[in-house]
Amino acid sequence: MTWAFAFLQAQQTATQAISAAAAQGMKADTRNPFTAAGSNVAKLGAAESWHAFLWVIPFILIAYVLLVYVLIKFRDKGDGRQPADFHENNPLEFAWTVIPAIVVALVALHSFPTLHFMEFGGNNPSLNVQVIGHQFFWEYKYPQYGIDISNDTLVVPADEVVDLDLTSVDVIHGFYVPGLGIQEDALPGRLTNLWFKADPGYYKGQCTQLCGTNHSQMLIEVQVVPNDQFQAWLLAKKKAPAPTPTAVPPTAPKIGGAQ
Amino acid sequence: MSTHSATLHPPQAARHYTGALDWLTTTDHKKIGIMYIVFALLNGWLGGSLAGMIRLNLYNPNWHIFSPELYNQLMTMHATIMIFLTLMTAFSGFGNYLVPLMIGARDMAFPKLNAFAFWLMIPAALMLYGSFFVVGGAAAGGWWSYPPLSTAQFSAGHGEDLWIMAIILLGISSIMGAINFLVTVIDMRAPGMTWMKVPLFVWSWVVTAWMLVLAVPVLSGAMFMLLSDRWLNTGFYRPALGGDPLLYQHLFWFFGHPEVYIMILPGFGMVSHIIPSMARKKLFGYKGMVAALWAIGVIGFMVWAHHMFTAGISAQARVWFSMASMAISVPTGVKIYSWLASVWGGVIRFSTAMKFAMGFIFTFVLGGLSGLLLAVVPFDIQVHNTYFVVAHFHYVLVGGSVMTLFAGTYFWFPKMTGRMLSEKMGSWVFWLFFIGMNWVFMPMHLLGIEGMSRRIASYRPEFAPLNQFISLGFPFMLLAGLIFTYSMYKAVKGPKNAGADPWNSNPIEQHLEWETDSPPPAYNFAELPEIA
Repeated sequence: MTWAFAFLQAQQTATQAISAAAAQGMKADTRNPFTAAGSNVAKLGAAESWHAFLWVIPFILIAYVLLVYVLIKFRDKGDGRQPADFHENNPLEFAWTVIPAIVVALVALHSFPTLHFMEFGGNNPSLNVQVIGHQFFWEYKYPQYGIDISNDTLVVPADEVVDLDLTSVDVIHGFYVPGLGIQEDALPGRLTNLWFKADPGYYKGQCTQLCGTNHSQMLIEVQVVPNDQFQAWLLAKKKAPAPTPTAVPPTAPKIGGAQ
Repeated sequence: MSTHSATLHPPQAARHYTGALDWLTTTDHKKIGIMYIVFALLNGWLGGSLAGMIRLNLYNPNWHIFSPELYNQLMTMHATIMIFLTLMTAFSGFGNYLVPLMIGARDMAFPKLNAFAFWLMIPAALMLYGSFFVVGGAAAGGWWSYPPLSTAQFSAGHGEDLWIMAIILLGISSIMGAINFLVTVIDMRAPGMTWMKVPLFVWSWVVTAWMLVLAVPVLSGAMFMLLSDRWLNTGFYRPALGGDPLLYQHLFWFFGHPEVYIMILPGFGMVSHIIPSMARKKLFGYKGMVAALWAIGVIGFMVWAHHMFTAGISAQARVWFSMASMAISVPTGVKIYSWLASVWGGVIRFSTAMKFAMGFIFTFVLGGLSGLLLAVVPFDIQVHNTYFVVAHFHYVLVGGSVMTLFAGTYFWFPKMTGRMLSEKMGSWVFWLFFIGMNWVFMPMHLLGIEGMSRRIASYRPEFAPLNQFISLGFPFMLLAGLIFTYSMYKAVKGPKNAGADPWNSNPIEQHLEWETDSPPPAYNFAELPEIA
């Protein structure tokens, strides 16, 4: 048993593990970004959403409690009660203008550091993938490795900063993977950007920007695997013969439109 | 002007027609108003049927009762019909009927322009409905009609052209109507009606008209550019020619967001009349209410890009639009609290109009606060273009606009026809609609949070249970609509049974429409009223 054979065997085991996990993952549901967040940005986004939600809940409750209270308390009971005669109260009106204003300002300000991190936090990515929208499938290019896959699962390493550059060759598409907490449009003539650092797992998503007849068939599958399995997958992909072109051969778009 | 017009006798029309010809040639704001409302109801039925077809198709993850092509057309036309031909039209109808009455005028400032604005909607509607029958079918790019999908390369059929031209026509009609409203209210208020005595429904239409005049020309411009990209080979939005699809999104939403308020502010105005009348207590915080309307009407123009948080705009822009979008919840909150304070201490009469007004507060609070959540960018990124957004804007448009339109219909129908609508049937209409509405749209929040994308004709199987539940709620709303329509038909066939002030609201707030007969005579007031 030579070292090469051992290496090949290890590689085969790794790719088989990926396929097995994919087969398993395909049966699972789309991951809920709030209860099953699978990446650092998803977790941050979920935390920020809960924060805003907790501020909003009291306002819903106050309005509903008041509504139910007045409806019960001030209904016409037929006892000849006369309606009250007030129609102004400056301190009260001032309060219900200023207090909500302060609260929404707090909610907004609290969310901006999170937004900043989601936008600019993905420094030194270990992997860059170009995501190219087509009617009606996604193409993934790994420029570092010369890999180009279409209409297939996007495979990325876990616990590494993964950077996605998005564009489109035809109409606008929306790249949305709820479990990873990422969503951004892929526009023709423009380059948009996403990043994340994910936990291992299988993530489902879907195009969110109406892109034509088969918009609903434009699914996204992402498999996040441990780094060693990812390296093995890269090697296997590079060795594999280029797939025969499908009906629409993916063409390289001109990336670098104004951002 | 006041002394002059006070002695003016109603001019005699050159020729009198009766029956259908009378309706076809009328310039009477009341008849035009009623035609707007009937037209809106008809379109509401057609747009609602499309919604039923959508829900039928979505009952099963992969049914494909309708082909994906047809599904996209149904979805696009459902939105277009509901927004442009139902909600805007219905509010225009109430505005046409009530604004001159409420300010003590004999008609709109430009009666012929008024008639023209209405009749212009008919060819637009024919183009929209007719587009289903042209080669390639109706427009299928969603009511945003984003290029490049809506350019000739990806939507070659003439359905898209008909759609664009219909929107341009409807825009012209809206602009003419809006100018008419502004001139009417500015110039033709009864003597003594200073601005701070103008009823809130009239105020709401002043702000709405101002928004229409500012926003709709931008939409029309965007549509002309899209049309020229399609057929004159220009490249405003086409990347291959140096254009930019994002330009269209900015132009469209610069109209599209004020449009949301255009479709709700007149409803706010209606509720501000119904609540005092039914709680038998003067409206609380009139000045704050007027200020809130204007705040919404101004800030509403500064929030448009929150529809584009995931379109690749910069973080700095998202910070601004996030802040501005949240700010708009403050004046909206002022209105909600003022309505509750108006009820506080009153003696509530639970007429159908009041039930709808209170139901409106219930649903609108939810729709408004889910909108506040969507303004938080990290949350928006999670649920943008999912069913959460669908739930949000249906809570605002159905729970907001449609509920207020029901309320307004039950409140002013006696004024318009001299006949009361059955309160017994009204109770059924309210409860069926209220339950059906929440049944259908509440679970959509969950669908979005679980990650179901919007505008899809088929979906992943895990979303099936909620979708089936949602579809089962539709018959409730359908039944409410049937009873509502039958109730109106029955009332119109019945005898006159409503006096000048059927709700007895004159002792509470002296609004002029209740001082003239039901229905009001031609030219409204035999003698122009003066406000003390």
